[in-house]
Amino acid sequence: MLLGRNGAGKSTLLRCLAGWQRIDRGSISLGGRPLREVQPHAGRPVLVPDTPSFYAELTAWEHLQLLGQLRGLRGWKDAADRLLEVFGLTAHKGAYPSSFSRGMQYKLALSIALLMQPRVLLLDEPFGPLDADSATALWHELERHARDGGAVLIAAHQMPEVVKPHRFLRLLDGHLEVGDKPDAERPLAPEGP
Amino acid sequence: MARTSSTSAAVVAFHLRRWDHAVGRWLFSLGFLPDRDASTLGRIYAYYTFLLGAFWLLASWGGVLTLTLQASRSAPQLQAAMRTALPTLFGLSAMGLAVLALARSPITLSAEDASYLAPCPVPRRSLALVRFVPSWLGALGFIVPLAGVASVLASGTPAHYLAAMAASVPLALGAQAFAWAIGLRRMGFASRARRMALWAPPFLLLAAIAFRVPFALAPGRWLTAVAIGGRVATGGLLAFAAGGVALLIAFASSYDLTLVTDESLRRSFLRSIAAGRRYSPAGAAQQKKAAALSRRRARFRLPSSSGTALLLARAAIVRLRYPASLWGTLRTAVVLIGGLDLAVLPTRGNAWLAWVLIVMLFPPSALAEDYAADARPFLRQFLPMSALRLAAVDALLPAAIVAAAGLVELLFIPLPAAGVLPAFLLLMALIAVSTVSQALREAGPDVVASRLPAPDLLSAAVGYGLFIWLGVAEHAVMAAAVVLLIAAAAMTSLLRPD
Repeated sequence: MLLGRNGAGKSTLLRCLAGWQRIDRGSISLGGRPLREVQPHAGRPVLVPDTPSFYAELTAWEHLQLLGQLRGLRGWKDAADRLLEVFGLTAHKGAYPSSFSRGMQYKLALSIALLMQPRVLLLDEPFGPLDADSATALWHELERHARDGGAVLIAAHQMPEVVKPHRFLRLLDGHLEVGDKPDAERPLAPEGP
Repeated sequence: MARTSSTSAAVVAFHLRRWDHAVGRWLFSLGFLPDRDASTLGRIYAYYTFLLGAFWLLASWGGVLTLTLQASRSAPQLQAAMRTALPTLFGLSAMGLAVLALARSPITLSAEDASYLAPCPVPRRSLALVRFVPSWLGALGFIVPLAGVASVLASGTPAHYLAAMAASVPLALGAQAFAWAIGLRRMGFASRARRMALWAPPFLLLAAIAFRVPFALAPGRWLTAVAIGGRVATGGLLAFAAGGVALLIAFASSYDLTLVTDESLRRSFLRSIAAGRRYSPAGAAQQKKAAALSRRRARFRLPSSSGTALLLARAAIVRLRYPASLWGTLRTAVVLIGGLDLAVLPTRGNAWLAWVLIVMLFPPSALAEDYAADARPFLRQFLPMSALRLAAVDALLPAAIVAAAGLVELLFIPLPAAGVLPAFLLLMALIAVSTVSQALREAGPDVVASRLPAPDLLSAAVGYGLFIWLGVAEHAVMAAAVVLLIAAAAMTSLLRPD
């Protein structure tokens, strides 16, 4: 779990880790290889931003179909069906994402990302647009992903009770502090007065 | 009651201040008014330019009247034709105003209005009437000068045009007020059927004009009479204006501010997309498409293929689901084939300058429209192919359409048979250069493996520069094709080979 004030650089850090944004200094390595050498579709961290984009002319299901078939994923249909069921999107799978609410769009983006089974999954503010049940469902999916060997880094201001991260990172003045629990002296989202 | 009138006064004061600011801003941006901190010399210069502008406007108006008078006197049959046509033309203008008021809400709220004004207990009637005034003045800006020109054309003399212009003021008021009345009424119905029913009046008016019903043609006939120095039907003109205004006042509070806000925000969103077209034409097209498709059902299905075949099937399906995107492809075809014509046909002077301007105004963005959708980082991270291959596959279908249109054109222009193949190759080279530069534009700086500033503009400038030099100036069609293909291949190295 990555914590920090508004403007601390959480989203920027996630974008750099996903290779979406150039870094001015330093380096990012993944499994000992510079991130730039890792192809986006072959092991780079997958990022679900707070406002994901979709194809205007494809339905929710067709997003999963297109990307599943292009990636040659075996059993993508069953996995996609299960993910849509988990996130309560089954009834809307034939609709265009542009007709979805922000929360539904985020759930579709999560479904796409989880279908791809990335080694490292980066989530930017995932709990903000989700209702309580969906947040719980997401956490169970992330636990399942972790059991299968995946790593998940979540940048968030809000942390539902069900969420029990293994490690906490706090981004403060450009420095990262690491711990196994949130700092009790400082609240999770220390926003102003 | 007292509270309502004070709120109405506040609405009027708010709009007067807003218009004052808008007019001042426009005049200042045109150099006609000094800003508050301008020096004395600056103020004198601003007033000088304002007077110059006013003089130019009057001189232009005099020129238009003189030309019209000459045309009318040299072709007297025009006078008779105009006298016959003017009642119909006025009726059709009134119908046009009604159609405009029905096609979109007469009242449009800005994003700021939607946030701050709409939630306030603003008297709807006051808001509608205040907003009506500038729309009426806008209609006057067209109708009054046209009435003057029509008078000169119909009478063959400049003796009556001022009277005709004066008579057009109450007519424009009545017509615009009728249009706004039904437009506002439409915004009071949530039911689609009832909203559609309000389209009946303009079409009934059209039918009445077609069947020469005297009632429908009467206002236009009053105007015609004034325009040729006949009797002024003062009562009729005033009754028409009063009838329109009475109907407007009656319906002025019948609209639903929520419906108006909803429609205004949708239009505001589309306007913001249009503003973004300069920076990312294909990206703006994607947003516009999403807004339009969100209310439609999905037709056709993606096949169970993979790789290039699947992307080609998607390219076909997206065009079937949103055929309007083919206009973009057509525009790209016209731009590129127009460039080709400059190379293969004998051209005079600096016609290529006009073509460069057209390319800048209407870049061939259709070639990278699908790539723009794929290049967005969230989706791009799942697509298992290099940027170059993705851009090439995504451009295949629109490029094939442009190439087919070019081939058809090459068969119809006067070109020796031996010249067709080189010309077609040159078109393919133009397509290649355009695809690369547009893909660089849409890929964004993170994907472009270059520290060069604006590599998309640079590659477009180099590609089109080579085309203009070798193709247009030298007419070395084959050489231009080969050099352009080599340049396009070299430019692809700017797309990171991930």
